[in-house]
Formats: sequence, structure tokens, C-alpha cells
Amino acid sequence: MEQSAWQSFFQLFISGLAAGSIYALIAVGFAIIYKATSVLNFAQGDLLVLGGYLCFSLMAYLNIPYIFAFLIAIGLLALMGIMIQRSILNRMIGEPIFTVVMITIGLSSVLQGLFGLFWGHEEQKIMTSAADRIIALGGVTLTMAHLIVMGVIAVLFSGFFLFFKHSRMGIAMRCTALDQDTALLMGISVKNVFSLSWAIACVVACVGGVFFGQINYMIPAMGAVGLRAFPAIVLGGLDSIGGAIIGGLTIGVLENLISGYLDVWLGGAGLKEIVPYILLLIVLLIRPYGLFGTKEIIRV
Amino acid sequence: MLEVNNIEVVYNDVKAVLRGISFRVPEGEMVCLLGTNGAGKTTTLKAISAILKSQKGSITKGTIHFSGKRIDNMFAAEIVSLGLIQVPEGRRVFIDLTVYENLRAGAFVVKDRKKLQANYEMVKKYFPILGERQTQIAGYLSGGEQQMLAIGRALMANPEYIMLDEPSLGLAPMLVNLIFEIIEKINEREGTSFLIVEQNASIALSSTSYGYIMENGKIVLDGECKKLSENEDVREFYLGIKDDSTLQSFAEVKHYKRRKRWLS
Repeated sequence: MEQSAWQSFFQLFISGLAAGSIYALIAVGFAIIYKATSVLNFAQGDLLVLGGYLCFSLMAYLNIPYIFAFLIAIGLLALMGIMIQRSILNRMIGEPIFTVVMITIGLSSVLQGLFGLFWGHEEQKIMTSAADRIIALGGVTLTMAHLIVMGVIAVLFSGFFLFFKHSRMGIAMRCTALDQDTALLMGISVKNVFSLSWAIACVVACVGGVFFGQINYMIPAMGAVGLRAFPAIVLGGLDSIGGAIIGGLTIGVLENLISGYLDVWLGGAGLKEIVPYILLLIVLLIRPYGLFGTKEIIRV
Repeated sequence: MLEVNNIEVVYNDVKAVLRGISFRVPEGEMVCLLGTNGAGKTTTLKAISAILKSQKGSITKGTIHFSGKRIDNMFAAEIVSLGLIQVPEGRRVFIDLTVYENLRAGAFVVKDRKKLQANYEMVKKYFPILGERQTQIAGYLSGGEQQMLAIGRALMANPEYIMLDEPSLGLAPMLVNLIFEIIEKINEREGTSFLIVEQNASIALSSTSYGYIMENGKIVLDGECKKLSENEDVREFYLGIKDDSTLQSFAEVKHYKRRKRWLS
């Protein structure tokens, strides 16, 4: 079937949204940890891979149905996040942030090595019967996985919004991000807040990883996608969860549109890789704190 | 009863800031802790609230008891849930949050929805302005409103004791009076006990019943506030009144000459 110009635009746009959703998931993980603990977690991408691999193993080796494997993987990753926080990062409270960032880089290398040991370096894919079903909507074709990923992300993010705006723990997390000592004075346990933010970041990473493993495939070095999401988070503002989502979606769509339209003219794929960074540069020139980052409130 | 017994606080393992401080705040009372800059007043409050750790400080000697329990080895969160809360120096409201969210943060230890609502009504009764501004971003409030928010935020936990660190800091005299009036009202009607740390000795001595004066990490004087305000040293060094008739003019008190700046 020949696609019209509009149809091909929508095709690129929607598959861009799906890819962007995964970037958004990674970016939100970054943002949550950064906001609460001011640490940039360079292992975020690898946690994503871990989530994907866990779900894959549960399904392939233990024959657990997809949905349950997904949920168990989420639970395991949340535990993992709390463990990382409790066992490693709690000891680093009061040390320079840079040290903690280096630790996350180390963690990333360790995880990548372990992935290779356990799962080998071949490409693995999470196979589900539903995910690969193709759906045609007015000339635009999509896989079920694309639709599911967008739906889940919409639900997840509206959940986040409500959580941070209205729940007791959500408000406590925002307070801790703003001023730890005062949060302590309110009776907020900063340690629990840190653990919770790592747990949430890991859960988000797991969701991203499983979807990534369905739509694409997994290799141990896939954690580098984390770095692809980096422009997304800086674009949105490092400490803004809403910004991370919009940043992720924007970059996903932009990458797809650019590779769809321009690669033909330039004789190959490649521009896709740099466009996010070009966009990032432009945005940062105009708004140094990102599109939605916190501007400092100054009373005059 | 809040009872501080001979505590010593050391920063970075070397710098002794508190050198054996003891005082008590009986239930339902208002007690003030006066002193100049660097006397250790804020450190005392931080020691009670157990937030010295993030500044590398620690209590090396002495004990702190609150309603019969020893609290100097507890975590900050446990102390708040016992009913002892602090309003930090310089307000420290959560500037990016709305007024209502700030109040919710103060009520972190209150898990019951109904109690939360009741406490909110109580705060609005004492600080009606907070109710009017509940959806505004706290960072854009005026200094006086922020101080009210900081006190209201502490009140949201419905505590038995509130420790106020310099509520008069940076506020106009009229606002200071207003805030102290409200504090007295809270003390009277809710039975909340207050420990007030102040540099503004005149307002603190006039609204509390008992006072301690701190210098260089030690308590140098204590007594009923009435007696304290009659003490000669207190009058000269803290209230700026000298009962010396040899002073003829106000200019002699000052160590510097006034210079006009608004002309020329």
C-alpha cells in the first residue's frame, strides 16, 4: 500500500513517540534520583538492561507468563535499587557528590560485565505473542508493543504526577530535594526518601528495559541507550520529571523524523545520532536550566 | 518536660561549640535562650533535634531528655514524632512548594486524614493569611508571611513543644510584635510549650517566663524573665539601656559618628 505524505509523517511521528517513551522512562529515572539526592546516576541505562534481562530470563528459563515475569522483574529491580542505596550510597552521605557519581560509573561497568557473564553477548529479544501483532490505523502501521508502551507510560506518568502533587510521601520527596536539613526537622526520614527514589528509578528503568527488549533487542552494552536519553533530561531540565518526559518524547520524535526524511538526502544513517545534541545545545543557549528546570526564586 | 543536661557539642572532632549546657523547659511554659552571635544557640537547637550529623557535629557529653525519654541518641524523625519540632533559623520554607504543600510537609508525622484537616483548620485560625494564600508558591511570600508559614508548618504536626530559632530575624518591629502575640496565644490556648532562641532580647524577655543567657557555649545567667530584665548587665548588653546618669546624650553611647548620606 502506498502511503501518502501525511501517512508517512504520522508513521514516523508515532513510532518516534514510542521510541521517545523509552527515552522518557530513562530520563525520568535520572531526574528522580537527581532531584532527591543530587546524584547523576550513570548506571541508569544498565539498570534498564538488567530489568529487560531479568524479565527475559524469567520467561525463557522459568516459563513464567509475560505479565508475571514483568511484575516480578519490577519487584526485583525495586529491591535492587533499595539495596544499592542502603549498602553503598548511604555510606557516602556527606562525601562530595563527585565521588558518588564515580561510584555509579563503576556500578555501570560492573553490571555490564555481569550481563556478559550471565546472558552472553548475543542479541536477546523478549518474545510475546501479543507484542508483535501489527495494527493498522488509517494507513499507519504499528506493533502492539508500541501501543502498549505508550499506554503504560501515560498511566505511569499520570500516576507520578498525582503522587508528587498530593501524596504525603511525594511531598516529602520534593521537600527533601529542596532542603534536606529542614526536611529532617519535619520528621521526614531522608534515608527512606533516598531509598524510595532509587526504588522508583529502578522500577521505571525496568519498565523501559522490558519494552526496549520487546521492540528492539538486548545486548550487555545496551546501557548506552542511557546516554542517548541524556539530552532528553538536560533538555527538560535536570530536576524536572515533567521536563524529562517531554524531553524524551521530543527527542524520540525528532530522531525518527530526521532519519526518515533526511537520511535519504545525506546518503546514510547518522544524523539521527547527533540531532539530539544539536537540539540540546540550542535549548541550553536560550534556557540554561533546561525547558522546565527549576529557576531560582529570588525575592526582591 | 524538655531537659538538657550538661551537653557538649564538638564540630569536626575538634571545635567545641557547646561546653556543658543545661536547661529545662517545663510543660506549658515559654522559655527563651538569649545570646550574641556565635554563642551556640542554634547549635543547641540542632543538638536537640538531632540534625548535627550533616554538619559533622556530635554530642560528646551529656544527655537530653524529652517527656521522660532519652532523645540524644534518637534520629531526627523519631524526635518529631514524639512531639518536639523545630522552626529553623531564617524560616527555611520549601520555596518551590505551595503554601498548602509546605503545611502538608509539616504534618508529615500525622498520618490520619481527619487529624490533618483539624490541624490545618487550627493553623488557619492563628494565621488566616496562610489560608488565603494556600495555592501560592511559598518562595514569593513576604518575609513575615514566610515566618508565619514556618511556624504554621511546625504547628501542623500538632506538637507538644516547638523550638523557634530567631523568629524575629529580618522582620519589621511591628511584625515581630504580631508574631510574638500569636505565639503567646498558641501557648495559652493549645498548651504548646515554646523554647525561643532570640537575639532580640527585649521582645523575648517580655513574652516568655524564664530565660537563659548563653555566651561562648556556656549558660552564664538564668532566671525569671522579670528578674533578668532588671539585671544590670542584661540591661546594658542585651537591652541597650544604661542606668548611668553621667551619659548626657545619645551620641556618646555610639562608637561611631553618624554621617549623612542622603544629601550630596
